[in-house]
Amino acid sequence: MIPVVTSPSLVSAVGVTKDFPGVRALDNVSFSVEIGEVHALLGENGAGKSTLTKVLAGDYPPDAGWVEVLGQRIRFSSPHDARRAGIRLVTQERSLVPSLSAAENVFMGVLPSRAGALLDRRELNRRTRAELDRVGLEHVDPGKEVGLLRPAEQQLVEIARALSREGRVLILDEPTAALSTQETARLFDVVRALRSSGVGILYISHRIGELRDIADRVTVLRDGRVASTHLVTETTREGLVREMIGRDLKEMYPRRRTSFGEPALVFDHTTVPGICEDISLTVRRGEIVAVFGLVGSGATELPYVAAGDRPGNGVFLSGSAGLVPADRHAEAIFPASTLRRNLTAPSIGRYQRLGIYRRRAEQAAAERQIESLRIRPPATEALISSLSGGNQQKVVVGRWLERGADVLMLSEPTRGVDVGARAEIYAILASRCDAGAAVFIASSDIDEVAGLADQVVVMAKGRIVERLAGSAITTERLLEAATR
Amino acid sequence: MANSEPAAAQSGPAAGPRSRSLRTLRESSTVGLAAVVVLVSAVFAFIAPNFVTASNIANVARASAVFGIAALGITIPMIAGAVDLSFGAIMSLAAIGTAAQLSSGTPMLQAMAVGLAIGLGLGILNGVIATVLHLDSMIVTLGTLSVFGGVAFMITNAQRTYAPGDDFAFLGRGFLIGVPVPVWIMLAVGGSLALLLRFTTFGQRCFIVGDNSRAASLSGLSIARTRIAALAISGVAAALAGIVITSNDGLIYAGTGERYLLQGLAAVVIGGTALRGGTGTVVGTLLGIFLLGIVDNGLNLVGVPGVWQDVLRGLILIGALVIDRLRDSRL
Repeated sequence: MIPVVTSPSLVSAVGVTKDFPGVRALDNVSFSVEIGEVHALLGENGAGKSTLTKVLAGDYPPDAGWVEVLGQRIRFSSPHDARRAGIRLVTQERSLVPSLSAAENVFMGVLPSRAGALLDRRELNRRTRAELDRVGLEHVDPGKEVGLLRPAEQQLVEIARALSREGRVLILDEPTAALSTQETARLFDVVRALRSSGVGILYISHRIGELRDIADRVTVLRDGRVASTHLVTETTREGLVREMIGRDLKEMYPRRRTSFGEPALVFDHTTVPGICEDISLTVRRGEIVAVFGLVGSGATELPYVAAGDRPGNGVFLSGSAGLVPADRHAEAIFPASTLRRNLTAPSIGRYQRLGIYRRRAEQAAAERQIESLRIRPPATEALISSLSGGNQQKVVVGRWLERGADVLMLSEPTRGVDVGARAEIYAILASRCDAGAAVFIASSDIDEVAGLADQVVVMAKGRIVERLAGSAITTERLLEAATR
Repeated sequence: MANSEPAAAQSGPAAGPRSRSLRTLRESSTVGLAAVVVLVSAVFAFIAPNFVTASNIANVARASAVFGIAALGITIPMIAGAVDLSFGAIMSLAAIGTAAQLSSGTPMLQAMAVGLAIGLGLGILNGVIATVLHLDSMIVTLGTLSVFGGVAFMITNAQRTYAPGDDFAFLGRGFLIGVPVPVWIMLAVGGSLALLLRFTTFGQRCFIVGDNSRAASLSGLSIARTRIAALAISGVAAALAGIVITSNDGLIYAGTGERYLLQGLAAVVIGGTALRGGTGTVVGTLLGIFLLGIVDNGLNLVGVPGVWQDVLRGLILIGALVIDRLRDSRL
């Protein structure tokens, strides 16, 4: 869909500059979303994507420049002004109330009432039905408690809520980060339907591969500036990556390995009720084995079973194991602690002499890992939350390298990680393999699995449905097996 | 592959407005609290003529030290993410144990050892119930507060237990270099706990486990061991506090320790230890203890009725919780 240049844009940022203490987050950014357009915004973490969306959503007033809606310059004095102008932001941070029903969440604040005060539940459910159908949640009962829905379904409820209030511009911030391939396809159907109804969509994603399927134009931000704007059909993956990181990314994925050592992790007919059934697989030293499966397949849980967090029968491990959990925020990060401590937590018992804790030894260990993993900022005493998602993930991987783990188990290793840091994490895993470690990953990111693994098992409904190795691992065959 | 240039670029905007170091944040709140203590003292010095006299200062210090010893103790489990509400009942029960031993002629050190052992045992019991059964420690210790308190009433028949002996009385009533002995004890407890937190890996584990117990457990750390040890420490400190009260009064009633529940808890929270765990300092708790002691005493001198002091203590606790919440949202 080629944008019509003569009519005013649905929403546009004109020469927007935004400064934070010590850093210019946006520098003279001009950008527009047309009526009935899906405009993708690409950029590494810290490139200014979220600052730009926050300016559009009225959260941040620009220091220079302005925002226009249908050619009208808007003075945002609060997020309410943006909402009134029809701009809806759906972020990665969930804003749903888990203990309330889907219906109550969708219509929160504007619940239909009868006789002025009583909640009109029938009307509420009827309207929610329509909104849920629109986002492909036909199977979800409006009365169902949101906390009981799967993460992917919660995401769609969130979109339903954004749309329910006459949204004209929908900003989707990494909507597919936690979605399976199937759910992503369903979301894209929803987005296309919205596009044809005239809604403008600003689409933020780290997954370059999916942009061709969904976006009309793509704008790349780098260091707070617009690096380029293209029609998606005129772009290549390599070209976009180059514009994002300002250089060639020679190889996203490391070279495949060819020789493997002794088995380090073995599942022998492992069954864990509610997670997996009769799983048998072997991870050898020097090898990256991936388990691939859609959300709900049980794949994500296998590293937890391997690590003994979810005990199962027939799991054999030789070596020192380290688990990188799927939910970085809830399961991995120590939010009130420093970067140093986040790197050293599993090894804390080592920094001592005669029972006396030695801060200096811990400090030295952290500095060593920061340097070898190129963690930014290289400040041991920085708050962990001040790091980008990619750097936080490097820290979580790094804590196991510091511990000397040689059986690395990672669940969704690069969720919410930008493309530069992603390549670095792959390189780290490959170099550990070369040094004799065994790597076991569970992922729902099909490109990652196809690019990284020496051996893949595909899971569906808790069972292994396919095994692929070496050059037989292709995205087509993975997808075919997972959805069979 | 993957050179360092793009990584350096990443640290820019994302890190910008929030890249404050943790230590500055903590130090600034401790300094702020110290300033509040000085300010409140100055106000009372001005409006209450007897506030700045040697005997009054000794009184404030002695009164604060009694619940202060227990408050210092519960700082440790709170940092490790376990709230100990039962410390008041442990104070009573351990003190009764010591007093009963003294009454029956047991030597002083041995009698005190019995009290401290009771505190240790009850603390471990708290920890085992909470961690082995995976229950919320706040609710568990609310339960054991009632259980231990009830047992104290049963074994004493709600009668006083005398604690005879001049040597023993020295602990609560004596002076050393012009400073009341309970204050020395409190400072010794505070110093030991500060060293424990700072210079042992156990202390560091308390911070890790309290910060994110799920992540700690997936990092291979034992939540149970850390929290049981932390609650054992608060049990022993509570027992010591109970013994000091008994020494000061020459006798002990069931229910005595429970009266310090609010003050002890408030001192820790005011001192900047996060209710959710993971942060906290001994110095902060000491400042919290002084602040509460000074406010209590100052209001007394100015002539504010006792009932109003209860109201004020409650409000200070709530205020400290609000600050705790604000501090939390800044992380």
